[in-house]
Amino acid sequence: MAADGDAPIPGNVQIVLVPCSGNVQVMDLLNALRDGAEGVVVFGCHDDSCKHLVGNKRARKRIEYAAALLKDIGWNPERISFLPVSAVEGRVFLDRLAEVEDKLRGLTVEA
Amino acid sequence: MTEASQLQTVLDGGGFAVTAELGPPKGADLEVVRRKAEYLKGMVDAVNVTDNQTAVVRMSSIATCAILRELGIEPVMQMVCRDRNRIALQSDILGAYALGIRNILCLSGDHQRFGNHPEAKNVFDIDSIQLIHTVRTMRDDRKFICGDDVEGAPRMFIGAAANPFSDPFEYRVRRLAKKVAAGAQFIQTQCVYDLKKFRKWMEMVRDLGLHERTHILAGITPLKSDGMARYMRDHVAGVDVPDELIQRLRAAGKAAEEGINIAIETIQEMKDVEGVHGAHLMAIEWEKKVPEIVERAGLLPREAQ
Amino acid sequence: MIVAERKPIADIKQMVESHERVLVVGCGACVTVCMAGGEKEAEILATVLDLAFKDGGKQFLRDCVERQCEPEFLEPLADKVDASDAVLSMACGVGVQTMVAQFPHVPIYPALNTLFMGRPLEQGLWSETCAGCGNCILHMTGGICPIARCSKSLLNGPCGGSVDGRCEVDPENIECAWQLIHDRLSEAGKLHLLDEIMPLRDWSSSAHGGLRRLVREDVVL
Repeated sequence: MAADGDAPIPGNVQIVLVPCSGNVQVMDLLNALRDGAEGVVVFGCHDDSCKHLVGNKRARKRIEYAAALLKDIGWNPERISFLPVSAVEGRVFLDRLAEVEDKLRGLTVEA
Repeated sequence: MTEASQLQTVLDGGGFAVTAELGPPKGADLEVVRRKAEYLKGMVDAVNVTDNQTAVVRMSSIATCAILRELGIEPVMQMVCRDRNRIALQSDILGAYALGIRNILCLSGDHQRFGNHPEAKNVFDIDSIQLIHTVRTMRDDRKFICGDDVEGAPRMFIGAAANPFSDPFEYRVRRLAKKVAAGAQFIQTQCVYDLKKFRKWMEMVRDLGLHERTHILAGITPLKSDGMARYMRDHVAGVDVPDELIQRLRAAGKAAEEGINIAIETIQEMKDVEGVHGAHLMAIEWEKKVPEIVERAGLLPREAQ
Repeated sequence: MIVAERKPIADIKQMVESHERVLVVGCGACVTVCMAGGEKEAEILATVLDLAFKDGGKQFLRDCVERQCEPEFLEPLADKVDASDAVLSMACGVGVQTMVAQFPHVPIYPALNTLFMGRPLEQGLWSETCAGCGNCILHMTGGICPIARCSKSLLNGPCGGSVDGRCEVDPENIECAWQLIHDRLSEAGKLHLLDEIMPLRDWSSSAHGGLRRLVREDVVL
């Protein structure tokens, strides 16, 4: 929906589409960081709205797990996060993206 | 040393026995033992000495028992299976007898997680029932567990513990039967507050005829406050304190006095329970109250030792 | 199966600190099932170490074998191992030591803590089940092992610390094994089996008896 709207998606954001947030693996998050991303945000369905029942739960758990690994090596765990958004919340999606961008800008590369 | 166990003499003679408990010090200071022993001398038939109770390191039971002997008090040496294997246990049974100790209480022992050395390796080579069997084998068959001859049999009076309040409730008595079959001649129970449940347990004990094959001593621990009562109910496995008792303590002006009253009442009740042949007073860190309890419960005088 | 978990990252970092080229090797057997050291976990660990030592010039290579406890499966790793300063094995203690025997000239570090032989109770939860005592008595205890599952390994349990079917050592997480044994035998009408005193155990067949070996003469050539 956001793509159809008036506000464009910021240029420094790389979008990766997945059928369900539950498809996102820990390796996907880590690889993104290793390949130079400053942060990763996984947008998934709100609680209890997952079409695949527990996909968003799995996503949250994996993000928690990966964030803990980051913490273990002295990186800021907030570089990766999960944000719930539904298909009709195009504006919310863009707003959240902007917030995450601001936050990441405020973080130093490590810790 | 051929004198028989005084505790055995009282029990086998049909008397109502009284035993107490003494926790050794967390140090090598003899004086602590002497001080506690002073309260108990002449007040009871024998004094149990705990064996690194709750897995907290204290002066050894065997050493403390030997000290009590020198002070003219008959000890009951508690032995747990947590810290020593069959080699060390059999060795200590021999040593204990040589030092004049005549009563042994065989226990599994609290897990080391509860104590001050939770990182220690535990042993549990044998369990309490196998330990009872071991002592009996050494005494009656004059053999070590491995089959070798024992030169000089330790003629011990063998005891075990029983918890009428833990689970599985119905199975407890069958396990008690195993202890008796293994050779337990006296049983000291976990402290009793729920008289109804205790009586039910004794009924099951009598149904199996165990009261005729072993002497049951009911455990009595005087409560100092309703706080202590609630702590024991919530944190000590297998201790059940009925609400009425907690109410009594809360309502009393001086809870400690009421606690002593409750203890004395319980002892009186025990005298009338068929199959109960004594009381075991566990006044933990409150040994000085033992003389009052024993006297007011009409248990004095005890046989001179 | 053997249940293990990854050591803290800080400990692993320390192990590899002085090495430049490290090979992280996963194992496709037990540690894959408990998600501690399989191919996926080896990848994850290698990538985390990449991030941890970013700009440090270290290289973390990754591989995985079917089972690290069989020399035949380790042979194909030879070239990669030779080209490395050190190996991080994500196998259980058996796998690590087999690697050590196979590649004696390269330091092989354990990335996992091997915990116990156990089974899954639910997704993500494993519980210790077998103590490897060498003399199985499950047929006498209704299929519940008192040596592994009783905190005191009692053979004539339960002890006085059994309340509501829980073990006093950790009532929240440990069931009283003897309550379980009692219930199973009771249900099967075999409670009388517990009336017999189980005699003192011969522990010489267990780890207490010294390093154990097994020889099958029928397959030794």
